[in-house]
Amino acid sequence: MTPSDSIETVIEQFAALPTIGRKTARRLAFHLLRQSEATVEAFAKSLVRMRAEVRECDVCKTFTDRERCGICSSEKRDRSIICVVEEPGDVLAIERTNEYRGLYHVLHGALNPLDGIGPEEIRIKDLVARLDGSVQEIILALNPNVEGEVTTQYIARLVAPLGIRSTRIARGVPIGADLEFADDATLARALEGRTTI
Amino acid sequence: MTIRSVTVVNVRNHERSELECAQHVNILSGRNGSGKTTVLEAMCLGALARSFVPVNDASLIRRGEEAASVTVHAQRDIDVPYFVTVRLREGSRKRIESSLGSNLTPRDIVGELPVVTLSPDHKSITFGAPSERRAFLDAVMAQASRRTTDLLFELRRILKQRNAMLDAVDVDETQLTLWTEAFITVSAELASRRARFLKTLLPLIQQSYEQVSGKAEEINVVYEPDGLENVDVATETVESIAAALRETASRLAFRERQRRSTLFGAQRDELSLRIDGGIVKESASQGQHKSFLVALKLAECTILHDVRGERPVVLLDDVFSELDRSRCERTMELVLAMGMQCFVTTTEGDTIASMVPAGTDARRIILERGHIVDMREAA
Repeated sequence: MTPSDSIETVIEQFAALPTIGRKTARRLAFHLLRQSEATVEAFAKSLVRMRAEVRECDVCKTFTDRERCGICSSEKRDRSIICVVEEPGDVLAIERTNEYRGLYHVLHGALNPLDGIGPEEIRIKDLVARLDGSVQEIILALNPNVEGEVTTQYIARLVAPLGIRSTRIARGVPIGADLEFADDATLARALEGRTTI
Repeated sequence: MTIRSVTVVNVRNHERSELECAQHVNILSGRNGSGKTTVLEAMCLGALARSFVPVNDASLIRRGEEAASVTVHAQRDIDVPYFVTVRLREGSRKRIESSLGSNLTPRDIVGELPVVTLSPDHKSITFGAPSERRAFLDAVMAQASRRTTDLLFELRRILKQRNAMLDAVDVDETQLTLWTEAFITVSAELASRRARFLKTLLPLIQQSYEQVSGKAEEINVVYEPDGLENVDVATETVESIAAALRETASRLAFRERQRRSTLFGAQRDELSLRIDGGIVKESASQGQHKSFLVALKLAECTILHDVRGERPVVLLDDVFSELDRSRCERTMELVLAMGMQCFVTTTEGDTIASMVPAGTDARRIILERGHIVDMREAA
Protein backbone atom coordinates (compact mmCIF):
# COMPACT_ATOMS: atom_id res chain seq x y z
CA MET A 1 0.00 0.00 0.00
CA THR A 2 1.31 3.43 -0.90
CA PRO A 3 -0.30 6.63 0.44
CA SER A 4 -0.17 8.27 -2.99
CA ASP A 5 -0.02 6.70 -6.42
CA SER A 6 1.20 9.89 -8.04
CA ILE A 7 4.18 10.16 -5.70
CA GLU A 8 4.97 6.52 -6.36
CA THR A 9 4.88 7.13 -10.14
CA VAL A 10 7.33 10.02 -9.85
CA ILE A 11 9.65 7.90 -7.67
CA GLU A 12 9.55 5.14 -10.27
CA GLN A 13 10.38 7.65 -13.01
CA PHE A 14 13.36 9.05 -11.15
CA ALA A 15 14.61 5.61 -10.15
CA ALA A 16 14.64 4.60 -13.82
CA LEU A 17 17.33 7.23 -14.49
CA PRO A 18 20.99 6.20 -14.49
CA THR A 19 22.92 6.48 -11.18
CA ILE A 20 19.69 7.16 -9.22
CA GLY A 21 18.59 4.55 -6.71
CA ARG A 22 15.20 4.34 -4.98
CA LYS A 23 16.36 6.28 -1.92
CA THR A 24 17.56 9.26 -3.97
CA ALA A 25 14.44 9.02 -6.14
CA ARG A 26 12.26 9.31 -3.03
CA ARG A 27 14.25 12.28 -1.79
CA LEU A 28 13.94 14.07 -5.14
CA ALA A 29 10.19 13.46 -5.30
CA PHE A 30 9.60 14.88 -1.80
CA HIS A 31 11.88 17.81 -2.55
CA LEU A 32 9.77 18.71 -5.58
CA LEU A 33 6.58 18.41 -3.52
CA ARG A 34 7.87 21.12 -1.21
CA GLN A 35 8.55 23.53 -4.10
CA SER A 36 6.02 26.05 -5.43
CA GLU A 37 3.76 24.94 -8.23
CA ALA A 38 5.39 27.45 -10.60
CA THR A 39 8.87 26.07 -9.92
CA VAL A 40 7.79 22.51 -10.60
CA GLU A 41 5.95 23.55 -13.74
CA ALA A 42 9.04 25.37 -15.03
CA PHE A 43 11.11 22.25 -14.27
CA ALA A 44 8.70 19.96 -16.11
CA LYS A 45 8.41 22.33 -19.05
CA SER A 46 12.17 22.63 -19.40
CA LEU A 47 12.38 18.84 -19.70
CA VAL A 48 9.65 18.68 -22.33
CA ARG A 49 11.19 21.57 -24.23
CA MET A 50 14.62 20.01 -24.16
CA ARG A 51 13.29 16.77 -25.61
CA ALA A 52 11.26 18.57 -28.28
CA GLU A 53 13.82 21.12 -29.40
CA VAL A 54 17.23 19.52 -28.99
CA ARG A 55 18.45 17.80 -32.12
CA GLU A 56 21.67 16.62 -33.64
CA CYS A 57 23.90 19.24 -35.26
CA ASP A 58 23.79 18.86 -39.07
CA VAL A 59 27.57 18.81 -39.21
CA CYS A 60 29.12 17.27 -36.10
CA LYS A 61 26.08 15.37 -34.74
CA THR A 62 26.40 16.69 -31.22
CA PHE A 63 23.22 17.80 -29.40
CA THR A 64 22.17 21.39 -30.14
CA ASP A 65 19.07 23.61 -30.45
CA ARG A 66 19.95 24.84 -33.91
CA GLU A 67 20.72 23.33 -37.29
CA ARG A 68 24.38 23.90 -36.61
CA CYS A 69 25.89 23.90 -33.15
CA GLY A 70 27.81 26.86 -31.75
CA ILE A 71 31.16 25.20 -32.38
CA CYS A 72 30.49 24.29 -36.01
CA SER A 73 29.16 27.76 -36.82
CA SER A 74 31.95 29.63 -35.03
CA GLU A 75 34.37 31.58 -37.21
CA LYS A 76 37.15 31.15 -34.72
CA ARG A 77 37.50 27.37 -34.90
CA ASP A 78 40.23 25.64 -36.88
CA ARG A 79 38.46 23.78 -39.69
CA SER A 80 41.41 21.61 -40.57
CA ILE A 81 41.15 19.40 -37.47
CA ILE A 82 38.28 17.17 -36.35
CA CYS A 83 38.24 15.49 -32.96
CA VAL A 84 36.16 12.30 -33.00
CA VAL A 85 34.40 11.33 -29.76
CA GLU A 86 31.79 8.76 -28.71
CA GLU A 87 29.22 10.89 -26.87
CA PRO A 88 28.07 14.54 -26.77
CA GLY A 89 29.25 14.65 -23.14
CA ASP A 90 32.81 14.05 -24.37
CA VAL A 91 32.67 17.30 -26.37
CA LEU A 92 31.97 19.20 -23.15
CA ALA A 93 34.85 17.42 -21.42
CA ILE A 94 37.34 18.44 -24.11
CA GLU A 95 35.92 21.97 -24.36
CA ARG A 96 36.54 22.45 -20.63
CA THR A 97 40.28 22.16 -21.27
CA ASN A 98 40.20 25.36 -23.37
CA GLU A 99 43.09 23.88 -25.29
CA TYR A 100 41.39 22.63 -28.41
CA ARG A 101 40.35 25.00 -31.19
CA GLY A 102 39.30 22.52 -33.88
CA LEU A 103 35.94 20.94 -34.70
CA TYR A 104 34.28 17.79 -33.37
CA HIS A 105 32.46 14.75 -34.63
CA VAL A 106 30.21 12.74 -32.32
CA LEU A 107 29.75 9.06 -33.22
CA HIS A 108 26.99 8.33 -30.67
CA GLY A 109 28.56 5.02 -29.72
CA ALA A 110 31.34 2.63 -30.64
CA LEU A 111 31.46 -0.59 -32.65
CA ASN A 112 29.92 -3.33 -30.52
CA PRO A 113 28.90 -6.52 -32.35
CA LEU A 114 27.38 -7.99 -29.16
CA ASP A 115 24.81 -5.18 -29.07
CA GLY A 116 24.43 -5.28 -32.85
CA ILE A 117 26.17 -1.92 -33.34
CA GLY A 118 28.13 -1.84 -36.59
CA PRO A 119 29.52 1.05 -38.66
CA GLU A 120 26.02 1.79 -40.01
CA GLU A 121 24.62 2.36 -36.52
CA ILE A 122 27.11 5.06 -35.52
CA ARG A 123 27.86 8.26 -37.46
CA ILE A 124 30.92 7.04 -39.34
CA LYS A 125 29.51 7.73 -42.81
CA ASP A 126 28.76 11.32 -41.81
CA LEU A 127 32.36 11.67 -40.66
CA VAL A 128 33.76 10.42 -43.96
CA ALA A 129 31.42 12.80 -45.82
CA ARG A 130 32.99 15.70 -43.93
CA LEU A 131 36.51 14.83 -45.04
CA ASP A 132 36.79 17.13 -48.02
CA GLY A 133 40.11 18.74 -48.93
CA SER A 134 40.13 21.17 -46.01
CA VAL A 135 40.53 18.62 -43.21
CA GLN A 136 44.14 17.68 -42.55
CA GLU A 137 43.95 15.78 -39.29
CA ILE A 138 41.45 13.76 -37.29
CA ILE A 139 42.07 13.15 -33.60
CA LEU A 140 40.52 9.95 -32.29
CA ALA A 141 39.51 10.50 -28.67
CA LEU A 142 37.41 7.40 -27.96
CA ASN A 143 37.05 5.59 -24.65
CA PRO A 144 40.07 3.47 -23.67
CA ASN A 145 38.28 0.10 -23.72
CA VAL A 146 38.24 -2.71 -26.27
CA GLU A 147 35.27 -1.30 -28.20
CA GLY A 148 36.82 2.19 -28.36
CA GLU A 149 40.12 0.70 -29.47
CA VAL A 150 38.60 -1.28 -32.33
CA THR A 151 36.53 1.71 -33.46
CA THR A 152 39.69 3.85 -33.44
CA GLN A 153 41.48 1.32 -35.66
CA TYR A 154 38.43 1.06 -37.94
CA ILE A 155 38.28 4.79 -38.56
CA ALA A 156 42.06 5.08 -38.94
CA ARG A 157 41.96 2.44 -41.69
CA LEU A 158 39.03 4.14 -43.35
CA VAL A 159 40.71 7.53 -43.64
CA ALA A 160 44.22 6.24 -44.43
CA PRO A 161 43.67 6.20 -48.24
CA LEU A 162 42.45 9.83 -48.11
CA GLY A 163 45.89 11.06 -47.08
CA ILE A 164 44.57 12.61 -43.88
CA ARG A 165 46.70 12.35 -40.76
CA SER A 166 44.95 10.42 -38.02
CA THR A 167 46.13 10.67 -34.43
CA ARG A 168 44.91 9.39 -31.07
CA ILE A 169 45.02 11.01 -27.68
CA ALA A 170 47.83 9.84 -25.39
CA ARG A 171 47.16 7.44 -22.53
CA GLY A 172 48.94 7.94 -19.26
CA VAL A 173 49.08 9.04 -15.69
CA PRO A 174 46.69 11.81 -14.59
CA ILE A 175 48.26 15.18 -13.76
CA GLY A 176 48.55 15.83 -10.04
CA ALA A 177 48.29 12.15 -9.14
CA ASP A 178 50.99 10.18 -7.39
CA LEU A 179 52.73 7.68 -9.61
CA GLU A 180 52.47 4.93 -7.00
CA PHE A 181 48.67 5.13 -7.03
CA ALA A 182 48.29 4.87 -10.79
CA ASP A 183 46.74 1.55 -11.79
CA ASP A 184 48.98 -0.98 -13.52
CA ALA A 185 47.28 -0.88 -16.92
CA THR A 186 47.52 2.91 -17.17
CA LEU A 187 51.12 2.93 -15.97
CA ALA A 188 52.05 0.19 -18.45
CA ARG A 189 50.51 2.22 -21.31
CA ALA A 190 52.24 5.36 -20.08
CA LEU A 191 55.60 3.56 -20.18
CA GLU A 192 54.80 2.28 -23.65
CA GLY A 193 54.04 5.81 -24.87
CA ARG A 194 57.04 7.48 -23.22
CA THR A 195 58.61 10.46 -25.01
CA THR A 196 62.16 11.71 -25.44
CA ILE A 197 63.02 14.89 -23.55
CA MET B 1 48.81 -12.25 6.84
CA THR B 2 47.05 -13.45 9.93
CA ILE B 3 43.29 -13.27 10.27
CA ARG B 4 42.36 -12.00 13.74
CA SER B 5 38.59 -12.15 13.55
CA VAL B 6 35.77 -12.80 11.14
CA THR B 7 32.21 -11.53 11.46
CA VAL B 8 29.64 -13.28 9.31
CA VAL B 9 26.15 -11.79 9.04
CA ASN B 10 23.32 -13.51 7.15
CA VAL B 11 25.58 -15.66 5.02
CA ARG B 12 23.95 -19.03 4.18
CA ASN B 13 22.75 -20.49 7.52
CA HIS B 14 24.72 -18.07 9.72
CA GLU B 15 22.63 -15.32 11.25
CA ARG B 16 25.49 -13.63 13.05
CA SER B 17 28.72 -15.41 13.93
CA GLU B 18 31.85 -13.86 15.32
CA LEU B 19 35.02 -15.83 15.23
CA GLU B 20 38.22 -14.99 17.08
CA CYS B 21 41.07 -16.79 15.39
CA ALA B 22 44.21 -18.50 16.64
CA GLN B 23 47.57 -17.53 15.18
CA HIS B 24 48.35 -20.90 13.59
CA VAL B 25 45.67 -23.55 13.33
CA ASN B 26 41.91 -23.13 13.51
CA ILE B 27 39.87 -26.30 13.42
CA LEU B 28 36.22 -25.80 12.52
CA SER B 29 34.25 -28.89 13.33
CA GLY B 30 30.63 -29.89 13.45
CA ARG B 31 28.18 -32.10 11.60
CA ASN B 32 27.25 -31.76 7.97
CA GLY B 33 25.29 -28.57 7.39
CA SER B 34 26.54 -26.87 10.56
CA GLY B 35 28.06 -24.01 8.56
CA LYS B 36 31.79 -24.84 8.71
CA THR B 37 32.47 -24.27 5.04
CA THR B 38 30.45 -21.06 5.14
CA VAL B 39 33.03 -19.54 7.49
CA LEU B 40 35.78 -20.33 4.96
CA GLU B 41 33.58 -18.98 2.15
CA ALA B 42 33.17 -15.78 4.15
CA MET B 43 36.95 -15.39 4.44
CA CYS B 44 37.29 -16.00 0.73
CA LEU B 45 34.63 -13.36 0.11
CA GLY B 46 36.74 -10.91 2.10
CA ALA B 47 39.85 -11.86 0.13
CA LEU B 48 38.60 -12.19 -3.44
CA ALA B 49 35.06 -10.76 -3.24
CA ARG B 50 33.68 -14.18 -4.19
CA SER B 51 33.39 -17.63 -2.69
CA PHE B 52 35.68 -20.49 -3.71
CA VAL B 53 32.53 -22.47 -4.43
CA PRO B 54 31.22 -21.45 -7.86
CA VAL B 55 27.86 -19.89 -6.91
CA ASN B 56 26.25 -16.53 -7.59
CA ASP B 57 26.25 -13.94 -4.83
CA ALA B 58 22.50 -14.09 -4.24
CA SER B 59 22.66 -17.70 -3.11
CA LEU B 60 25.12 -16.75 -0.35
CA ILE B 61 22.49 -14.56 1.31
CA ARG B 62 20.58 -16.27 4.13
CA ARG B 63 17.10 -17.31 3.11
CA GLY B 64 14.50 -14.67 3.90
CA GLU B 65 17.09 -11.89 4.26
CA GLU B 66 17.84 -9.07 1.82
CA ALA B 67 21.48 -8.48 2.61
CA ALA B 68 24.55 -10.20 3.96
CA SER B 69 27.96 -9.01 5.07
CA VAL B 70 31.38 -10.27 6.00
CA THR B 71 34.06 -8.37 7.90
CA VAL B 72 37.57 -9.68 8.26
CA HIS B 73 40.13 -8.09 10.57
CA ALA B 74 43.67 -9.18 9.89
CA GLN B 75 47.27 -8.33 10.61
CA ARG B 76 49.78 -7.94 7.79
CA ASP B 77 53.19 -9.60 8.13
CA ILE B 78 54.72 -6.17 8.69
CA ASP B 79 52.44 -5.85 11.74
CA VAL B 80 49.97 -3.38 10.26
CA PRO B 81 46.26 -4.00 10.71
CA TYR B 82 44.07 -4.59 7.65
CA PHE B 83 40.31 -4.89 7.47
CA VAL B 84 37.81 -5.56 4.73
CA THR B 85 34.01 -5.55 4.66
CA VAL B 86 32.02 -6.98 1.77
CA ARG B 87 28.26 -6.39 1.71
CA LEU B 88 25.95 -8.32 -0.56
CA ARG B 89 22.44 -7.20 -1.40
CA GLU B 90 20.10 -8.94 -3.76
CA GLY B 91 19.79 -7.15 -7.08
CA SER B 92 22.54 -4.61 -6.48
CA ARG B 93 26.29 -4.69 -6.81
CA LYS B 94 28.45 -5.64 -3.86
CA ARG B 95 29.80 -2.90 -1.64
CA ILE B 96 33.38 -3.22 -0.59
CA GLU B 97 35.18 -1.23 2.02
CA SER B 98 38.67 -1.90 3.32
CA SER B 99 41.73 -0.27 4.86
CA LEU B 100 42.40 0.96 1.31
CA GLY B 101 39.20 3.02 1.15
CA SER B 102 35.50 2.71 0.51
CA ASN B 103 33.49 2.09 -2.64
CA LEU B 104 36.01 -0.40 -3.95
CA THR B 105 35.65 -2.93 -6.75
CA PRO B 106 36.69 -6.61 -6.47
CA ARG B 107 39.69 -5.72 -8.61
CA ASP B 108 40.93 -3.34 -5.91
CA ILE B 109 41.06 -5.92 -3.14
CA VAL B 110 42.19 -9.08 -4.94
CA GLY B 111 45.67 -9.89 -3.62
CA GLU B 112 45.47 -7.66 -0.54
CA LEU B 113 44.48 -10.55 1.70
CA PRO B 114 46.12 -13.48 -0.10
CA VAL B 115 44.38 -16.83 0.44
CA VAL B 116 44.99 -20.32 -0.85
CA THR B 117 42.06 -22.74 -0.67
CA LEU B 118 41.87 -26.48 -1.03
CA SER B 119 38.34 -27.81 -1.26
CA PRO B 120 36.75 -30.99 -2.64
CA ASP B 121 35.86 -29.01 -5.79
CA HIS B 122 39.56 -28.63 -6.56
CA LYS B 123 39.83 -32.31 -7.37
CA SER B 124 38.88 -31.23 -10.87
CA ILE B 125 42.27 -29.51 -11.30
CA THR B 126 43.99 -32.85 -11.79
CA PHE B 127 40.94 -34.88 -12.90
CA GLY B 128 38.91 -32.40 -14.91
CA ALA B 129 38.91 -30.46 -18.17
CA PRO B 130 41.71 -28.10 -19.33
CA SER B 131 39.58 -25.13 -18.26
CA GLU B 132 40.02 -26.19 -14.61
CA ARG B 133 43.81 -26.14 -14.83
CA ARG B 134 43.75 -22.85 -16.73
CA ALA B 135 41.50 -21.39 -14.05
CA PHE B 136 43.97 -22.54 -11.38
CA LEU B 137 46.92 -20.85 -13.09
CA ASP B 138 44.94 -17.70 -13.89
CA ALA B 139 43.67 -17.38 -10.33
CA VAL B 140 47.20 -17.59 -8.91
CA MET B 141 48.49 -15.10 -11.49
CA ALA B 142 45.60 -12.73 -10.82
CA GLN B 143 46.43 -12.64 -7.10
CA ALA B 144 50.05 -11.97 -8.03
CA SER B 145 49.58 -9.30 -10.72
CA ARG B 146 46.77 -6.97 -11.60
CA ARG B 147 47.78 -6.73 -15.24
CA THR B 148 46.76 -10.39 -15.60
CA THR B 149 43.32 -9.64 -14.15
CA ASP B 150 42.88 -6.91 -16.75
CA LEU B 151 44.09 -9.12 -19.59
CA LEU B 152 41.71 -11.93 -18.63
CA PHE B 153 38.81 -9.50 -18.53
CA GLU B 154 39.75 -8.06 -21.93
CA LEU B 155 40.17 -11.52 -23.44
CA ARG B 156 36.64 -12.54 -22.37
CA ARG B 157 35.17 -9.31 -23.69
CA ILE B 158 36.94 -9.38 -27.06
CA LEU B 159 36.17 -13.07 -27.50
CA LYS B 160 32.45 -12.41 -27.03
CA GLN B 161 32.58 -9.52 -29.52
CA ARG B 162 34.51 -11.56 -32.05
CA ASN B 163 32.10 -14.49 -31.73
CA ALA B 164 29.20 -12.09 -32.24
CA MET B 165 30.92 -10.88 -35.43
CA LEU B 166 31.43 -14.43 -36.70
CA ASP B 167 27.82 -15.25 -35.92
CA ALA B 168 26.44 -12.27 -37.87
CA VAL B 169 24.53 -12.88 -41.11
CA ASP B 170 26.74 -10.51 -43.14
CA VAL B 171 30.26 -10.53 -41.81
CA ASP B 172 31.93 -7.13 -42.14
CA GLU B 173 35.47 -8.07 -43.21
CA THR B 174 37.23 -4.91 -42.06
CA GLN B 175 35.64 -5.06 -38.65
CA LEU B 176 36.34 -8.77 -38.23
CA THR B 177 40.03 -8.18 -39.04
CA LEU B 178 40.19 -5.56 -36.30
CA TRP B 179 38.53 -7.75 -33.68
CA THR B 180 40.86 -10.58 -34.69
CA GLU B 181 43.89 -8.32 -34.26
CA ALA B 182 42.69 -7.11 -30.84
CA PHE B 183 42.07 -10.73 -29.83
CA ILE B 184 45.53 -11.81 -30.99
CA THR B 185 47.26 -8.99 -29.11
CA VAL B 186 45.65 -9.96 -25.80
CA SER B 187 46.04 -13.72 -26.40
CA ALA B 188 49.74 -13.31 -27.16
CA GLU B 189 50.48 -11.28 -24.06
CA LEU B 190 48.54 -13.71 -21.89
CA ALA B 191 50.37 -16.71 -23.39
CA SER B 192 53.71 -15.06 -22.75
CA ARG B 193 52.78 -14.22 -19.17
CA ARG B 194 51.41 -17.69 -18.43
CA ALA B 195 54.58 -19.31 -19.79
CA ARG B 196 56.93 -17.06 -17.83
CA PHE B 197 54.90 -17.44 -14.65
CA LEU B 198 54.89 -21.22 -14.95
CA LYS B 199 58.68 -21.18 -15.29
CA THR B 200 58.88 -19.73 -11.78
CA LEU B 201 56.08 -21.92 -10.43
CA LEU B 202 57.30 -25.29 -11.73
CA PRO B 203 60.37 -25.77 -9.47
CA LEU B 204 58.13 -24.92 -6.50
CA ILE B 205 55.58 -27.54 -7.55
CA GLN B 206 58.30 -30.16 -7.97
CA GLN B 207 59.80 -29.37 -4.59
CA SER B 208 56.41 -29.45 -2.85
CA TYR B 209 55.53 -32.76 -4.48
CA GLU B 210 58.65 -34.35 -3.13
CA GLN B 211 57.92 -33.00 0.34
CA VAL B 212 54.33 -34.23 0.32
CA SER B 213 54.82 -37.66 -1.21
CA GLY B 214 58.35 -38.29 -0.04
CA LYS B 215 58.92 -39.90 -3.41
CA ALA B 216 61.22 -39.18 -6.29
CA GLU B 217 58.69 -39.38 -9.09
CA GLU B 218 59.40 -36.94 -11.85
CA ILE B 219 56.81 -34.21 -11.94
CA ASN B 220 56.28 -31.81 -14.78
CA VAL B 221 53.74 -29.19 -15.80
CA VAL B 222 53.81 -28.34 -19.49
CA TYR B 223 52.11 -25.26 -20.84
CA GLU B 224 50.51 -25.97 -24.20
CA PRO B 225 49.27 -22.69 -25.63
CA ASP B 226 46.63 -23.15 -28.32
CA GLY B 227 47.64 -22.38 -31.89
CA LEU B 228 51.29 -21.91 -30.95
CA GLU B 229 52.62 -25.46 -31.31
CA ASN B 230 55.99 -24.48 -32.76
CA VAL B 231 56.69 -21.39 -30.70
CA ASP B 232 58.66 -21.22 -27.46
CA VAL B 233 56.32 -18.77 -25.74
CA ALA B 234 58.48 -18.49 -22.62
CA THR B 235 61.38 -16.93 -24.52
CA GLU B 236 59.84 -15.35 -27.64
CA THR B 237 58.68 -11.72 -27.60
CA VAL B 238 54.98 -10.93 -27.42
CA GLU B 239 55.26 -9.54 -30.96
CA SER B 240 56.55 -12.79 -32.43
CA ILE B 241 53.93 -14.80 -30.51
CA ALA B 242 51.32 -12.51 -32.04
CA ALA B 243 52.82 -13.10 -35.50
CA ALA B 244 52.48 -16.86 -35.01
CA LEU B 245 48.88 -16.45 -33.86
CA ARG B 246 48.16 -14.41 -36.98
CA GLU B 247 49.24 -17.37 -39.09
CA THR B 248 46.99 -19.68 -37.06
CA ALA B 249 44.13 -17.23 -37.50
CA SER B 250 44.44 -17.16 -41.27
CA ARG B 251 44.75 -20.95 -41.40
CA LEU B 252 41.53 -21.35 -39.40
CA ALA B 253 39.62 -18.46 -40.98
CA PHE B 254 37.48 -20.66 -43.23
CA ARG B 255 36.55 -23.13 -40.49
CA GLU B 256 35.75 -20.33 -38.08
CA ARG B 257 33.26 -18.98 -40.61
CA GLN B 258 31.62 -22.37 -40.94
CA ARG B 259 31.47 -22.92 -37.20
CA ARG B 260 30.62 -19.24 -36.53
CA SER B 261 32.92 -19.21 -33.54
CA THR B 262 36.52 -18.52 -32.52
CA LEU B 263 38.64 -21.66 -32.80
CA PHE B 264 41.98 -20.52 -31.37
CA GLY B 265 43.43 -18.39 -28.61
CA ALA B 266 44.33 -18.21 -24.94
CA GLN B 267 40.88 -19.42 -23.82
CA ARG B 268 41.81 -22.86 -25.21
CA ASP B 269 45.27 -23.26 -23.65
CA GLU B 270 46.09 -26.47 -21.80
CA LEU B 271 48.29 -27.01 -18.79
CA SER B 272 49.37 -30.59 -19.02
CA LEU B 273 50.25 -32.27 -15.71
CA ARG B 274 52.78 -35.09 -16.11
CA ILE B 275 54.10 -37.73 -13.77
CA ASP B 276 57.09 -39.83 -14.87
CA GLY B 277 56.36 -38.71 -18.42
CA GLY B 278 52.71 -39.88 -18.39
CA ILE B 279 49.68 -37.62 -18.26
CA VAL B 280 48.33 -37.42 -14.70
CA LYS B 281 44.69 -37.55 -15.74
CA GLU B 282 45.27 -40.86 -17.54
CA SER B 283 47.98 -42.65 -15.62
CA ALA B 284 48.28 -41.40 -12.04
CA SER B 285 47.05 -43.36 -9.02
CA GLN B 286 44.54 -41.83 -6.59
CA GLY B 287 47.36 -41.07 -4.16
CA GLN B 288 49.45 -39.39 -6.85
CA HIS B 289 46.47 -37.24 -7.82
CA LYS B 290 46.15 -36.09 -4.22
CA SER B 291 49.86 -35.39 -3.78
CA PHE B 292 49.91 -33.46 -7.05
CA LEU B 293 46.98 -31.32 -5.98
CA VAL B 294 48.59 -30.50 -2.63
CA ALA B 295 51.89 -29.74 -4.39
CA LEU B 296 50.11 -27.27 -6.68
CA LYS B 297 48.49 -25.58 -3.69
CA LEU B 298 51.69 -25.41 -1.65
CA ALA B 299 53.53 -23.95 -4.64
CA GLU B 300 50.72 -21.40 -4.86
CA CYS B 301 51.42 -20.47 -1.21
CA THR B 302 55.13 -20.02 -1.81
CA ILE B 303 54.79 -17.95 -4.97
CA LEU B 304 52.15 -15.69 -3.45
CA HIS B 305 54.45 -15.14 -0.50
CA ASP B 306 57.37 -14.35 -2.82
CA VAL B 307 55.43 -12.04 -5.11
CA ARG B 308 53.32 -10.14 -2.59
CA GLY B 309 55.74 -10.28 0.32
CA GLU B 310 52.84 -11.52 2.44
CA ARG B 311 52.20 -15.03 3.71
CA PRO B 312 48.85 -16.25 2.43
CA VAL B 313 46.18 -17.68 4.72
CA VAL B 314 45.45 -21.35 3.94
CA LEU B 315 41.85 -22.56 3.88
CA LEU B 316 41.46 -26.34 3.87
CA ASP B 317 37.84 -27.33 3.32
CA ASP B 318 36.89 -30.86 4.33
CA VAL B 319 40.46 -32.11 4.06
CA PHE B 320 39.74 -35.76 4.78
CA SER B 321 37.56 -36.06 1.73
CA GLU B 322 40.67 -35.22 -0.31
CA LEU B 323 43.60 -36.38 1.76
CA ASP B 324 44.42 -39.41 3.85
CA ARG B 325 45.79 -39.00 7.34
CA SER B 326 49.49 -39.02 6.49
CA ARG B 327 49.15 -36.53 3.61
CA CYS B 328 46.99 -34.34 5.77
CA GLU B 329 49.56 -34.37 8.55
CA ARG B 330 52.37 -33.64 6.11
CA THR B 331 50.45 -30.76 4.53
CA MET B 332 49.71 -29.16 7.86
CA GLU B 333 53.35 -29.55 8.89
CA LEU B 334 54.54 -27.82 5.70
CA VAL B 335 51.99 -25.04 6.04
CA LEU B 336 53.03 -24.40 9.62
CA ALA B 337 56.72 -24.60 8.72
CA MET B 338 56.13 -21.77 6.24
CA GLY B 339 54.61 -19.81 9.10
CA MET B 340 51.17 -19.60 7.53
CA GLN B 341 47.90 -19.48 9.39
CA CYS B 342 45.49 -22.23 8.44
CA PHE B 343 41.79 -22.95 8.79
CA VAL B 344 40.57 -26.53 8.55
CA THR B 345 36.97 -27.72 8.36
CA THR B 346 36.24 -31.31 9.29
CA THR B 347 33.69 -33.60 10.84
CA GLU B 348 36.55 -35.27 12.69
CA GLY B 349 37.84 -32.47 14.89
CA ASP B 350 39.62 -34.80 17.32
CA THR B 351 41.69 -36.44 14.60
CA ILE B 352 42.90 -33.09 13.28
CA ALA B 353 43.55 -31.78 16.78
CA SER B 354 45.76 -34.79 17.48
CA MET B 355 47.90 -33.86 14.47
CA VAL B 356 48.69 -30.37 15.69
CA PRO B 357 52.30 -30.22 16.92
CA ALA B 358 52.81 -29.18 20.54
CA GLY B 359 53.48 -25.49 21.10
CA THR B 360 51.26 -24.41 18.23
CA ASP B 361 48.65 -21.74 18.83
CA ALA B 362 45.57 -23.73 17.86
CA ARG B 363 41.87 -23.33 18.46
CA ARG B 364 38.89 -25.59 18.05
CA ILE B 365 35.66 -24.01 16.94
CA ILE B 366 32.53 -26.12 17.19
CA LEU B 367 29.54 -25.22 15.05
CA GLU B 368 25.91 -26.27 15.14
CA ARG B 369 23.27 -25.18 12.65
CA GLY B 370 24.94 -21.90 11.73
CA HIS B 371 26.03 -20.99 15.27
CA ILE B 372 29.42 -21.12 16.93
CA VAL B 373 28.68 -23.07 20.10
CA ASP B 374 32.17 -23.44 21.48
CA MET B 375 35.67 -21.98 20.97
CA ARG B 376 38.57 -23.39 22.95
CA GLU B 377 42.31 -23.91 22.79
CA ALA B 378 43.13 -27.16 21.06
CA ALA B 379 46.61 -27.84 22.33
